[in-house]
Amino acid sequence: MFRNAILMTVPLLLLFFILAEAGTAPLRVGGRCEYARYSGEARIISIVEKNEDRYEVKFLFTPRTQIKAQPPLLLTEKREFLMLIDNSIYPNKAYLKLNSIVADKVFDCNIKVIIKGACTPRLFEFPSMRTVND
Amino acid sequence: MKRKALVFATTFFLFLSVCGNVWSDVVDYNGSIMRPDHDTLRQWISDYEKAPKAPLDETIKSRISVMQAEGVTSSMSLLSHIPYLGADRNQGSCGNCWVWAGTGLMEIAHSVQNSENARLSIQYLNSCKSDEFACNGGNLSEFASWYRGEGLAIPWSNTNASYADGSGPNSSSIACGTISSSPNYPLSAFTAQTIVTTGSTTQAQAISNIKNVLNQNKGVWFAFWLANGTDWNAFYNFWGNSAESALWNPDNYCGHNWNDSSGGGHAVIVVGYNDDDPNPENQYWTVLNSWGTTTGRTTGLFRMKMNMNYGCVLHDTDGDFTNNQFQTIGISYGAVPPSVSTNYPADNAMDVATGTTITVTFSKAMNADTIKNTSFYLNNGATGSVSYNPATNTATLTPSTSLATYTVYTATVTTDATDAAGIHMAAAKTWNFTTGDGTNLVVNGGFESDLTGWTTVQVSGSSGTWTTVSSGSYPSTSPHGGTKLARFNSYIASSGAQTRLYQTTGFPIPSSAVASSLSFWMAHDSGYTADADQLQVQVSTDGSTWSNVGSPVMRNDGTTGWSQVTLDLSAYKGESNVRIGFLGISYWGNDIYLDDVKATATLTLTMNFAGSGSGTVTINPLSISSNVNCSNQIVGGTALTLHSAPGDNSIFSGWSGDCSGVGDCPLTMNADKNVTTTFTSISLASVHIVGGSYFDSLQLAYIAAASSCLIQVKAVELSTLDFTLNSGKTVTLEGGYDSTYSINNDYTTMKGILTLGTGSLTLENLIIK
Repeated sequence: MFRNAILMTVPLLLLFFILAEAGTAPLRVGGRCEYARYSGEARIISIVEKNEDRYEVKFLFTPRTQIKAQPPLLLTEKREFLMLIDNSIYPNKAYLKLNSIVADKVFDCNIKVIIKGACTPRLFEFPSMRTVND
Repeated sequence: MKRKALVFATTFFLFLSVCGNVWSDVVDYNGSIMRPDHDTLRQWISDYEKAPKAPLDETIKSRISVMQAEGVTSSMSLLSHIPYLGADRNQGSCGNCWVWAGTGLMEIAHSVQNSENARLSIQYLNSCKSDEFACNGGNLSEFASWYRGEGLAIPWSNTNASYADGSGPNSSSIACGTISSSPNYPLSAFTAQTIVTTGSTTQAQAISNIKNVLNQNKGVWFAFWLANGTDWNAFYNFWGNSAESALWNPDNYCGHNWNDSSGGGHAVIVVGYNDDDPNPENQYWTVLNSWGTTTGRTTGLFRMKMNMNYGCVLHDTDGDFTNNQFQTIGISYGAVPPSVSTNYPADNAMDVATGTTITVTFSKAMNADTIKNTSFYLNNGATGSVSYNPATNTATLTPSTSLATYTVYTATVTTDATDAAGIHMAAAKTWNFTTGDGTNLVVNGGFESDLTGWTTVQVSGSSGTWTTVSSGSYPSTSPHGGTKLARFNSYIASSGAQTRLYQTTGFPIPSSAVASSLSFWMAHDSGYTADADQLQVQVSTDGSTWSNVGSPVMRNDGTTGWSQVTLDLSAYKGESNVRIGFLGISYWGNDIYLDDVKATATLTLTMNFAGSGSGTVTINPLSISSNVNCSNQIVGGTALTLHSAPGDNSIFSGWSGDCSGVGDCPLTMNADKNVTTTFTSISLASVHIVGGSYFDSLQLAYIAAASSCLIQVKAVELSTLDFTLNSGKTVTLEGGYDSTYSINNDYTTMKGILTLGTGSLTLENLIIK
């Protein structure tokens, strides 16, 4: 009886591990993402009031060094991007004044380009910017 | 998996090192891609396949069927039910697309069911779903299950409920316990439902089923999987670099082999469709993403080809699986009764203008038929008309006459008021307010009725605006009085922008006015000291030409808080239409705040005393008393009551001039006034109205007497009497009384002209000569 049980269990365990290894069908969406980050600079080209105390700040991004084999989302030449706090919040006046954000000024800027996952594929970081609460 | 990541990272770093340099950090690894165990995987498959099927509306189904058969095109959109689009919808580097998509469906349902576009919190689930962090992924069944357990949704605007996990942290940036759940929207049912688009379903049926759900005003969850990095790059490229008008064709990724390390899924919302173009290749679904905006995609939308293979599968070692899943939610919000969001005058407001209207703004659209003067009224016998503006959900009660001064009024909105769905208010809204002295020539000077009675015009630049707010933010400021203040947006407006706030209709200042002045309250602060934001008072008598009055008032004048400014308007005496204007001048510093504007004109009340007696007249509520002829300077509009008090051995015989009768005299100072008070010495009084006053003159007594009165006359000779009976009264004159009017055993002799006009006169013990 005990021997039979072992004989039955071993194949079942083997089958389980095989299935576990092969079990890769994705039925969940989202999940962790991976990015590449490239440094560059952002030149402010316009600051326009969007609504109450929120400003639409547009900039041009230039990578510090030309990358010949660019991922598609690094196509930044002659493209205007929005400067957003945490990539989603339009800056207010306090933020603009605190960081002396005016037209034609150039700031350090990193572009994050997604490598894998279903997150927002192109994000920008402004490492020198201070927030109002800093 | 870690090994693969390491290899990939190393390769990538080498690549970059060859092609360039100075990349401070090359790759962010935000954690491993989550891989389910086999049981979990089976559970997820089961979730989708066994989820209840989305109910289809048979009427819509028939209509769509006919339209498809006849080639009739159509389009629709649910975007008006989504409160936030564009850059505001950005998940960042957190993999919680499923929360954004699911929450979008909830927002649409909330808008449809409760007639209220509310942005719901993403962070709530991110922070409070404890079994697995939302950035690790999920599906609609998981989403619905979690919300079923919570039983409520909460607004984005609640404390700590706005999105904070956009940087893709390993655990939530906000502790669940710090997120306020008040207010919230109760949920009574929440299920994930699968729209049948696969199996034996034809393409036409699949399209019809999706359209059917959309036309029930439900958003459609669309989850899709791309098998490998190449396919994902293609989608990234489509999203990031193509115009919004471009169509994405999922069929390009159909039938590919699933790659463990680079395949992945994404959830978005189908919010509409357009098949106006008869060419099926150009017909599309409108899809809302949660990736913010791109240069050519300003609203965060993309178009997906409608003429696609709905049964498309990806190949995996486990077997094929459907890579396009369409679902929706069955959700019921608890009925939210309407309520009064704001009211004017505010609760317990003081010094309210007597000419005010009373307004309430409801939390949602109301049934106009239930907003009437039986459900919205004032006590104190005040009557008026009630109207309802569906554009603003605001009801207005306009009293038929001005309210009384210095009076406490109670306003009530009863539970008879219902929303558009017939839901009654949960509780009546009742509040008190007190009227003031009625002296302010400026209507709505406290801005409690927002900018009613005021107009704005840009004088210079284009960004300066005047609005009313319940509190100021730059700097933080509460109204000086009441619940609102006027704000010039110099915090935002470009330097040099000038905008005038002025009275739509002016006021007269009588030429006889002793004086006239303007006062207002302005807030000062010490922010942005280099920015000379200022306010210039102006006056116009024709509505087009404006003259400065006084010097500009600086926002930054070295003080902080509210201070009152008073200016002389005497130069405008005799003008019939004086308009006050406030020119806001921005230097891009802080905002300018203005409140409690008041203009007054000082008028004259002349008091004269007549008769044989003496006494005192008191002017209330000013408590001014006099017993001799005098002139009093009183602010125009003041409501007065004149009270007479006879002196010793004197009686009050009545008013003349701007007052009449023998009682207290109500008098409103809407112009210069002239009043004569007559006191009569009792010892000299020859005439007495039984039950009333004493008079020297029979004619005065007759005027004061009511019909059927008995007028007693002493047994004296009224030698200079002229008496005219002309007012239709029936009176009796009884002469022959002694000095105390208690014994009547003599005769009174009247000398003069007796004229009989209308009325009836009975004479006793009178000798007429």
